[in-house]
Amino acid sequence: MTKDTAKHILIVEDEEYLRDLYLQVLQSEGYEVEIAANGEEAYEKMSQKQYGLVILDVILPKMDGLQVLDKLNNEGKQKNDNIVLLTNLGQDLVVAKALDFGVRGYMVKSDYTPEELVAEVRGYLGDGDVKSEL
Amino acid sequence: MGFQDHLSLLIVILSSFINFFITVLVYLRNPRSATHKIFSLLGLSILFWLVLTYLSYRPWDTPTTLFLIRLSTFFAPLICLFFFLLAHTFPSAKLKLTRKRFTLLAIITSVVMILLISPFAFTELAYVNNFPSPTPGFGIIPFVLYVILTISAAIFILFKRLRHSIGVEKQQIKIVLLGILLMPGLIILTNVIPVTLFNNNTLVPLTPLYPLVFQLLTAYAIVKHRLMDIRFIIVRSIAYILLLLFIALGYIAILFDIAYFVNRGRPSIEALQDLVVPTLLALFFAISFQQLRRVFEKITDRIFYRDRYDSNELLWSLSRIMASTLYLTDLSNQILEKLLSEMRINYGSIVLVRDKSIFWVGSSGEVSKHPFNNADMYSLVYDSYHTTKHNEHIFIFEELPEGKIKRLMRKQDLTIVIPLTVRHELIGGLVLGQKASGEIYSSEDIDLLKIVAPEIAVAVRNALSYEEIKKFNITLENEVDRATHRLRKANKRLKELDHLKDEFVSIASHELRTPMTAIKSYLWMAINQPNQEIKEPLKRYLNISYNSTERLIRLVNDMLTVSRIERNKIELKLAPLNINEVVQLVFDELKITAQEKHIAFKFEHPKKKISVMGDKEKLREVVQNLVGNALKFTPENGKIIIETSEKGDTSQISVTDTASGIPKESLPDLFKKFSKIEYSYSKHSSQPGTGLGLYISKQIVSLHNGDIKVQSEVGVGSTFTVSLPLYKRKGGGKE
Repeated sequence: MTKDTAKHILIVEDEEYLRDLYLQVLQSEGYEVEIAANGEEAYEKMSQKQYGLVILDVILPKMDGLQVLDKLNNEGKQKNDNIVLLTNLGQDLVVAKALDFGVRGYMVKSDYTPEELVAEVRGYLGDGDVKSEL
Repeated sequence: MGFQDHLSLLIVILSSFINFFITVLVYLRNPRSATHKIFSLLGLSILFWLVLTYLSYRPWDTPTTLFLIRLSTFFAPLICLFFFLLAHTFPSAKLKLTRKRFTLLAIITSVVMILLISPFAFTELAYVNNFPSPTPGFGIIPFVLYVILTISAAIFILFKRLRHSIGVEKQQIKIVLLGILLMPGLIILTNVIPVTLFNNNTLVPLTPLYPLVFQLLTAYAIVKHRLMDIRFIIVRSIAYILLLLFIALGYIAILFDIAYFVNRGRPSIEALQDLVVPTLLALFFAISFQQLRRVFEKITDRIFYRDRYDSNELLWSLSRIMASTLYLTDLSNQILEKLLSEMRINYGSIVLVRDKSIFWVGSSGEVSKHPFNNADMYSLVYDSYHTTKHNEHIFIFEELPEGKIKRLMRKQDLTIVIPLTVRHELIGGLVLGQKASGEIYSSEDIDLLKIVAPEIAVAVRNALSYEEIKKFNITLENEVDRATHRLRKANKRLKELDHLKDEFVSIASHELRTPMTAIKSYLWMAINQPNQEIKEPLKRYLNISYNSTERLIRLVNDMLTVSRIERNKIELKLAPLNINEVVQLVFDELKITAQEKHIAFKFEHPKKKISVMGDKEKLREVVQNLVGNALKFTPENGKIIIETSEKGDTSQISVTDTASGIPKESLPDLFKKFSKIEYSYSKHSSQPGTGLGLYISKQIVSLHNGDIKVQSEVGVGSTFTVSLPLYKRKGGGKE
């Protein structure tokens, strides 16, 4: 993973306001951010490119997060260890299943302030220098 | 005395004894009944006549012999009188003759008797061939007339009655008439035929036995309350008479030849040869007695009694039927068919009663010809059980007096009604129609029915129970099937509902939290945007909005947790952990808040690890909740102490505050959902809670097999104590 791809983040979020928020917050932190509004788009992008981090919602139009994970898993094109679930779903089962697919972790959207989210992302990417830029 | 004399004496003694015995027996049976009395008097008259006649044949001097002859004939009118009276009265218990007629009869009899004892009847005694022969005078004429009149009147009455009577009475009269007719029959067989054809008077001394035949049969007709089939008597009588005749003839031959051999004393080869054949014949007959008897029985049976059945065999086959089936219909059909075919009955039913009516009928025979009325039938069966005659429960049409029952039986065309009872409980009845031959039921038939009725009752009851059990089983099976089906359906529905609820809770929380996330995030952005300073009161408004959003999110989170707990959907990720570490995390997190409120905030714990098996995240939630509450309610400059310790088998975390305390009456409700106390406190707090924190904490601790307790004093403060089982591993190593 190069330094460049390490800074590439894909946000998969169907809710427009939240998508804009995450895009704005993370871009202002200096990350290269791409967005996907549904599962299919996310799958397309993830098959074409290796991201440093994929923030994946679960409830999505066309293809939900778990289906995306399942498809990727079956194809074996990439390990899912660069994916973090970001959802407002509270079902332990969904989380357990996602973890079975090899995702690194999960966040409950409502529990995080934008600042805390950035901190989490930084933690996942193992990147210390972005914080100093803030 | 010669052989014949001995024989005569023997027969006279024998018949006298039997006569006397019967006379006394019949009299003692019912001393008040006219029939019984007359029969006894008749018996005594015959006895006197018999003895005197015998005596008159003994060798006396002439006057004595004459007197004895007169005396013996003196009793003859009495015999005739009583015979007539018997025929006239029989079988009634009261004399039917009017007093006037009776007196007249008595006078006539007395006249005849006086004439007989006088010299006018027998004037003198002459000897013909050395045999005493009295010379009759004119006095004998009334006697002869008297005899002819009374005897023929008696027989006429009997025949007339025979034509008009029915049932048992008819049978009785038949038997009496049989006895009367047998006498001349026997005399012809033993006296007339041998004497005239064979010139042999050997059997003449048997004559005194013949009245006995009449007496015995009449006694039987009087005494026995149920009679044998008349044909049976005739058949047997004929069989035995034929047998007697055969043996008698055999012996006659022997006696004849012995007499010839001894008296003439001329033994010759011819004579001896003549002797051999009859002797052999006699021996043959004697030896073949049983076989002959059987042959004659068989022949007579074949002629007269084609439909006789063997009681034992019938009982046995009925028992076998009853043992072979448990199906009520089969059972009833087979029993009835067997009974009807063997006893030659035209119709029969087994009826079962319940709740004062007939609820089941199984019939056989000429069913279509028989009316059936439920109420009448029930009434008959019921009465047959509750009416007792001779200690027997049975209605026999012929034996019933005219009345309701007889009328009902006639209406239903029934001859027999026997109740079927099991342990003194009436379960039904066996009803039978007439015999196909038109005869009455013999005592043999009745006895058999009485034996078989209780057996039928038990078998029917068993069959009934079996059917009930079978029906009950089917009902039960259906019921179970239905219930199972309902349960399955309900279960399926519940599963669906459960799934829907999960989905609903999940979606609802998701849908609620998504816009709240947007509000919260953008409020945060607004508050924390670096471009321009936000002035009061806008800053305060924004902060309130932000906090309220936070609170709403917490509420949704808590409700989600409660829903999980209540659906048992919560999964503990159990691992050994040190509770000091958990508490330390919370302590560190909330230290700043405490400082802000100037609260003395302390955490006191032993140096060593306190290990429990638990879900770290969930337990952290519990501690955070308790300490958070304490911070919320403790006023500025107050004090909060967190302590951990080991106590026996448990680890303890206690949180003591100096808040206002909780009233005792509110303590029981503290850990309930939306507990009023917590809620009201929350309301007045600067950081309102959701009313679910303590409830969730309690549930989580319970899932760890632990407990939360609270001690509180209003105005002093509260102590919340969490107890959890200690985790102990070999060697005491933890984590």
